Amino acid sequence: MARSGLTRREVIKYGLIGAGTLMACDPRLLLASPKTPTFKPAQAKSVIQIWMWGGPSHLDTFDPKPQAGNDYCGPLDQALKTNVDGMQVNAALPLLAQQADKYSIIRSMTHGVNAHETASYLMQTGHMPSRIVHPSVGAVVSLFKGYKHGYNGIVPPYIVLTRPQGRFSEAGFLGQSYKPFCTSGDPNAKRFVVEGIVARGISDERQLRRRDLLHSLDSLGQAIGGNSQFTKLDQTEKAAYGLMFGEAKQLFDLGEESDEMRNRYGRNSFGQSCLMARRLVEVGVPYITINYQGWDTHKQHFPTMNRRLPQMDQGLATLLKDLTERNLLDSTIIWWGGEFGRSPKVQWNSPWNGGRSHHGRCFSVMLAGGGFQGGHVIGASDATGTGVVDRPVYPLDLIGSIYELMGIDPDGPLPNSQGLDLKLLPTGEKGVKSGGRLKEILRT
Amino acid sequence: MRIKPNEDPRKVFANWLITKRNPWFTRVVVNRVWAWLMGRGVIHEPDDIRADNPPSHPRLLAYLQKELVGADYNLRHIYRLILNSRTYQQSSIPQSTKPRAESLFAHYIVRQLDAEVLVDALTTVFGPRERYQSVIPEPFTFIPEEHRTIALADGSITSQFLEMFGRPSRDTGLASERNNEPTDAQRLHMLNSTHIQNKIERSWRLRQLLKDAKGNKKNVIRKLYLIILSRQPTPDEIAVAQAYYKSAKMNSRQGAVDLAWALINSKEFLYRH
Repeated sequence: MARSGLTRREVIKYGLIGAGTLMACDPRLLLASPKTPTFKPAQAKSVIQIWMWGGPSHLDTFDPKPQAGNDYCGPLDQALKTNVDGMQVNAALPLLAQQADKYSIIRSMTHGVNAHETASYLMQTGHMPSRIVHPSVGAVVSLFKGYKHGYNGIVPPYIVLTRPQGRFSEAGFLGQSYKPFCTSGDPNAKRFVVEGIVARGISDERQLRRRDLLHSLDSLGQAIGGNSQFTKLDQTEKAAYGLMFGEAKQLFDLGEESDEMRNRYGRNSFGQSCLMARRLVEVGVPYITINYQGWDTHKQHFPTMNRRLPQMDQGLATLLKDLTERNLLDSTIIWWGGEFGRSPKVQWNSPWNGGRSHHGRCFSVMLAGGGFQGGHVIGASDATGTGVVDRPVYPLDLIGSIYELMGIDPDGPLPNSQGLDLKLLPTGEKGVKSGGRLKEILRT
Repeated sequence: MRIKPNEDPRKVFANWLITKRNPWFTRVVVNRVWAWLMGRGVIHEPDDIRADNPPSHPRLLAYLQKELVGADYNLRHIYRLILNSRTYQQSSIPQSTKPRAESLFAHYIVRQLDAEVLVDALTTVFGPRERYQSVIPEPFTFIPEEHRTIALADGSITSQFLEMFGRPSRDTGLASERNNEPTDAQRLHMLNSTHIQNKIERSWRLRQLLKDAKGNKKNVIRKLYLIILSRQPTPDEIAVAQAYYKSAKMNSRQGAVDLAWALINSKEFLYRH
């Protein structure tokens, strides 16, 4: 554990103290009735989830193994010291190395699943697939922190930049009210065409005029007055036009940021998505996913990394710095990670010719802000990054810790209109593995 | 019950289901058919069948059950009975303001089109088809384009549109899994999404219609009403549409696009009525 800011001994100590204080001082937790949310108050107000679609290599990012040789490292065989003693990242991330005091790295994430669908589901719900399709963390946050709990923002409480994930139903059985609002468009384009809010080639004037046309041709609505279904539809229409012509339009207009600020984040889709995420956090949106595609690099792995890692490095490092400068990092969780890591051993043979395959046995996740302390490394992988040797962290441990910081009781029930008796997470259920929540880095 | 080695267990199950000693199956299924067609079950909610949730019209339910058994469990017979009934063919404009009118089927119950039906209707109106793919297992399988959305056999084959408009993921088999309540996101999608904009602007049917009309705007208006709402426009509606062309100084194509947009966003199009 030489690389970690926290020794194994300390980890165990803090872990025990964490559990001990909980039991001694917080009997509410044990007695909490499922209907009264008596959970401790939220430290975090928002989550920015950077979803590394396809599974990023842990060796090439936050768990470098320079000693493992060319079979494992390929050309990315240098580790870099960070601004935290003993904490290193891959040399491909020089800007993030300067921000390491703000984030912690989990190097012992594990679930053992190597299929995209199951692993994505597991990493974003904490559950193994079963008969019920569980909601993702974003949908759960919008259930507990959304419109029914005082959220009154100008845009929906769960936003995805920019494309929906596919392979994965975000809201699960909770249904479409908890689906994220997916912006589409490209925040790096001259005009960020946000789906539903900005229409290509239709002026505001024409929008308003055709709204009048729609209303004057509403023959059925006029024939059936007072129908409750129609009243509801009229309300949704009001909300929709509110988004099209209200402050939302301004919010998504990245032209309001200075060129200097936009350049700091990097003039590419990911960089500008990070900037957009910061704007959404500023107006109180509780859950933002940046769906960062293109990490499923079976072939052309290293050329792809050379192209993408600098963009990721710049966007993410600037986001950490910018949120800190605006005093927002303490209330904003940043969660970086994909459904799994990539095989530490490079597949040099044909047809891969230098690719990395799926690897669910051991991979890394980066966490920052919102009550997660920076500058720590949790767990460790073996000499080649193939297996976990210390402090396994399972998806439900990670998700449970995020819920805790958001003030959502991870052991509580999942309210639903179907009358099903469900828990948020399967912690403690038969056959479900857990390494415990991330007490090591939870700020108390 | 034994299932022989080469026997399809589904057949065994189906035969077990439709024995005359099993009144529960007929009760559930005729009630569901009624609920699909009428917007409300004789037993309401259709999933909630128990002794202390009685049907609103017990004799109607018993009659339909008997008819189903008599027709050797042919569901088409039940559809035919209901669709030909005066109850089904009533207007959706309420004749009574009494609060129980709807639950007693005194008028047709207006309700939002199901997600699959709505997207199929848009496809019928404008032409270009939706593309669906089965993502499990890899490599992805594409569904032939001539397949209509209502015929998708697999609940996991879906789209953003279908999920947004409440197509259920079929996790539970409960009728209540489908949620047809309108949401803000749906409205925004219909009013101002690229998906809908593309459907209208890239519609070969609309293009053809404009070509055939040779600049006769009234003709365009009539045809759009026929295609989208299956009826002729009233003189008032024609006047409104004509005035729109003039006031907005629009060319005939833009005007037709906006009229089509207004009609697919009308309650008359979005709701069963």
